[in-house]
Amino acid sequence: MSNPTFEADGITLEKVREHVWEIPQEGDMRTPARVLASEPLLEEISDDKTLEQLTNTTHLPGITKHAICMPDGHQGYGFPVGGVGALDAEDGCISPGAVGYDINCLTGDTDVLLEYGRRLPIEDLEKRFEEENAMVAGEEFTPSTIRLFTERDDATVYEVETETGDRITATADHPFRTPDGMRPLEELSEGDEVHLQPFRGVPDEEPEEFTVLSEDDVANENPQLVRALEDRDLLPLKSTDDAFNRFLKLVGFHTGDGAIGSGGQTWFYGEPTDLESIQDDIDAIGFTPSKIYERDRAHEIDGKTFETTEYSVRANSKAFQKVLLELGAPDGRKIESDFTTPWYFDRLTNWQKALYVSAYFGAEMSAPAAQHDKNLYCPKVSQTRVAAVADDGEEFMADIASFLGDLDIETNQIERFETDSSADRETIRLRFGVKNDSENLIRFFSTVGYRYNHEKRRKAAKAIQYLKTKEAVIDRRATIAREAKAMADGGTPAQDIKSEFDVNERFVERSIWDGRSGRPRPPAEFPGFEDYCETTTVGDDYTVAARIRSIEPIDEAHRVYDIGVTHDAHNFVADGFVVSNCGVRMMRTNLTYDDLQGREEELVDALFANVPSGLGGGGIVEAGVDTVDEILGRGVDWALENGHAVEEDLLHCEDEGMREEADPEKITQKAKDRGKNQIGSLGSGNHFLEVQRVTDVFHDEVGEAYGLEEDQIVVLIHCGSRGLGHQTCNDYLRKIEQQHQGLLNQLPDKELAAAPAGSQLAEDYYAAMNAAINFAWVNRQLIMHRTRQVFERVFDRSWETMEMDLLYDVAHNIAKKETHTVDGEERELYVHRKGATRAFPAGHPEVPKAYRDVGQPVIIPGSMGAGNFVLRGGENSMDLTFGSTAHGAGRLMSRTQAKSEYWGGDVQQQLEDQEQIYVKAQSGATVAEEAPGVYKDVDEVVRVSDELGIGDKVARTFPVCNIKG
Amino acid sequence: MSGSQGGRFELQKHTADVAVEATGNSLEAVFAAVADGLAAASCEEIPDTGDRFSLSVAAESREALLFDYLDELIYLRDVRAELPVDHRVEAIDGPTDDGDGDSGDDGTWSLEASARGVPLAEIDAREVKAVTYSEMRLERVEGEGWESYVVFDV
Repeated sequence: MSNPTFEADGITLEKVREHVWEIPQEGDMRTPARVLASEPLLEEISDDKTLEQLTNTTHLPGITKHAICMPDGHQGYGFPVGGVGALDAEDGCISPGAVGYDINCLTGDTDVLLEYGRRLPIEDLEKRFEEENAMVAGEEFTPSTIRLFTERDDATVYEVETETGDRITATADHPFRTPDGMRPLEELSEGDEVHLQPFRGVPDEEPEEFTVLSEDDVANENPQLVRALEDRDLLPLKSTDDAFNRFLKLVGFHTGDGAIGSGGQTWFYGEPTDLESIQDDIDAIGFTPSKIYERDRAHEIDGKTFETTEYSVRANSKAFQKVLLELGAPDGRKIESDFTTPWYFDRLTNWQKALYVSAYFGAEMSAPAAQHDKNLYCPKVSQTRVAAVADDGEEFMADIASFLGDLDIETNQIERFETDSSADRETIRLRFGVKNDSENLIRFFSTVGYRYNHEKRRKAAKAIQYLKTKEAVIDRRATIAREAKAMADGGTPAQDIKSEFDVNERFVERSIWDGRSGRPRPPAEFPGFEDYCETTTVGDDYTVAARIRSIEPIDEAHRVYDIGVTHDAHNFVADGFVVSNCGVRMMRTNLTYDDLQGREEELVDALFANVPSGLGGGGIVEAGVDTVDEILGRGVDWALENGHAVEEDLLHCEDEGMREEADPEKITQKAKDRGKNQIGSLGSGNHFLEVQRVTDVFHDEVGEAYGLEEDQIVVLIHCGSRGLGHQTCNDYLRKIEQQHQGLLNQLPDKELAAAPAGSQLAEDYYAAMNAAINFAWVNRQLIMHRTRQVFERVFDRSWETMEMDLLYDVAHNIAKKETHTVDGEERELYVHRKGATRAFPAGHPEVPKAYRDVGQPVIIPGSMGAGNFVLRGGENSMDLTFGSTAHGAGRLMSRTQAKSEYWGGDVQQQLEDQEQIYVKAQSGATVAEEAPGVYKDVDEVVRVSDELGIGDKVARTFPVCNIKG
Repeated sequence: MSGSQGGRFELQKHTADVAVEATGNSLEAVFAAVADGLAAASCEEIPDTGDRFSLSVAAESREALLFDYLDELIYLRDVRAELPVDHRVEAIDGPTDDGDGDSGDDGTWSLEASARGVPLAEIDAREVKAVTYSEMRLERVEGEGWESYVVFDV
């Protein structure tokens, strides 16, 4: 039986269970979307564009699990109001991609380096990017899934050439990784350094599918071993399986530096970093590797003894060992073994062969090194075998040489010589190497090279860059020689020729008089390889800095491509829908409704006169930009220092009233200018200050912990960071639009603009948003403190005796980096709550100590007629909503409609006469727009929240006095 | 309603926010009409007081120019403490006007405009917090000039 569904104008929602509805994932959605609502609320939610906007948010790269709409959801801009979206921050993606820079707006023939050393033109990635892993240069060089593929026509592109002769074609906005972080091409000029990752890999191709390990191969093994293989999906093992590619590397390395031990122990020897990579592969296949063992060994060579430390890792599984042996790892003593390349080697694609061969080279081949000064040695491998199996050894080497030949890598003749070792048996030493001319070595290092050997690999990266630079210098000299000769032949005097070129005179003389055969040599001042290595650094991700020689526009318009990989940070901090950091705070008093009755008008007038509201009403603090900066950087701490807060206020505020990650410098001058005369002001629209009475306490224990009891007077303040926050949002929205056009074009709504996390822009935005949060806290703090002073005047006693303490301050328009458990895994996420409130349950470490035993207070403003609620974070919130619940009643009716249905004066009078609610506003229109009837039934919203266990009902309050803009 | 530069605008329903739909027989007229819509959304009865001031804005595309223009008006409102009304967009320059209504997204767009600034202290005005890109439209309509739809956060 299928689940009941709800049809909402083209969108079908499936009922998952009571109050939980799901919009299934389809089209470009990256996850399903969920709406938490009762049927009556869902009717209201589906009345406007809420569901469409919610669906749109699932297009954001990095969205995790579901985009969620709270019971009070309604249409906003970009994200719906009442929306929660958790966007992965840990497994994210700033992608200095395969080539050492972000793969972003590149022409179609640009190669992308994929996992397992394969390369593929980016345009061919389109159909299969979801299955592929691209290599990412982050802290390390690691594979990452691709979450995004876009293309764009008619782009203007530029060809960038570095001094190493590397070329890439990209758009002006394409970010390059530089020593100063990611920078768009348009900010770079000749002479600037960019990071290159010189390993190019082998062209990708589809492997032939055949069985490499079948049930027959293990027919004689014990059932336990067979089961172990079956459990790991290794029986049968096919040439196209992911695990097989890992085995290829392990077999290759083991053939060099491994040993088969007794009882199923399989050993690998190497450096700790490399053994870690081996551990990772053993683990990825499904077996458990040992820890890395360390032991000191004494060696004796030529009568001298010395000690070395040997590191090793072993696998203890007989099943693992069986596979390794079946796939060609030599058993027993290698010197006596008749092993060759594995039986299936011929049938592999080149990139698969390269996995095996490069891992073997990682173990056995000599590292790149200078032969003399500017030339490199041939990297070599050698083996010693007893005479009886020497031919097998030669065959092994011939196979490898032949494979290298297929990649146009030339090798030297295989050398075979007898050794003068021990007399008891004849042994033969076999040796071959890769030819050491520059082009050949570059090709070898950049396509095959070494695996499981970090040091050799780094050295190879240097060698590639060194040789390329050297060749580029030689090319330039060859050109000069040719041109100089041509000028001389044309009759130009030698002196004029010499002054024409920036090269030493002797070189010109030799070029025009001596005649020149072959390519010139590099100049004497060109560094030797060892010197070059000392001054060149290679990152752990194998990137090397190279200087830009030229940036030239290319005339014809190109189609350009953009992929986003999910690794590190390059996830997306969505902007645009996190705006004013607006939120609510509630202050307790020890006054009762009785104390207040009869003085409502006096109080509402005094509050209205003293708390700035409306447009152009100024702020409590008039300040210069210096003060704004301090507020942005320090939050409520600033207020404490300046006499607008007491210590206790900090302890009852989320994050103690200060976001550490805030950086005032990331807020534009424009935003600060808007902010400086609005510090401590309500603004207008739905923002307000309300004096309320507690009418119900539903939960005694929690009510007591929150200090709430029936008939008590409390004050609720609802506002945000004002113009400063809005300006910040739009400033960044525009920057994102300018810098991440490719991503933006993919999103269904421009307002959802997102900056790839880890990109400079995302970091800047996060720092700016946190600064705006500090500003919002200070804003609410100033208003609260001013309210205390107003109460002191009206009630003629100190605010301390009225026990006017902050209950809690919580934002409901905010994005925060938080850790959540998703499918059993801890992940760091940017949780975006747009019109949704954080609702962490009891016991959560981020709940302030005062409330940790009962759960975080959640303050839900309702409407003037229906009252407000205090909830506590429910125990299901972490599972269902990334620790969130509703934020308010949610609008039902547009402001324009409200104004045609209500008249402010009537509403005001009616509230006063019938409900004893005293309202004072700058504008009658605001009262009409905020009339009780324009909001959803807050009771129903809270009922759903309570029943779902995301936010439990604690108390209800009703307004007594209300001021607004 | 008629805009001050011959364009027309209407305030449209939008659950949480306010939307302005505007038309004009030129790009300048439709820009000014959207801005007049913004003023109308802020204040229902606009007095004749205040002095005119001018502003100029540049952006990389036509839509971005409209966004930045409206963003600048809201910014100026807050820092000058005046509500900009009676908008005139004197001239809009783009890289090429191919006349197909497509937004050019290279080169630079710029505009010169002026408005009358009514001191906020003199009026009962509501705060429009921000312009948004949400559902924004700016299109040429065959034979009828230009049409635009902009949602404002209030």
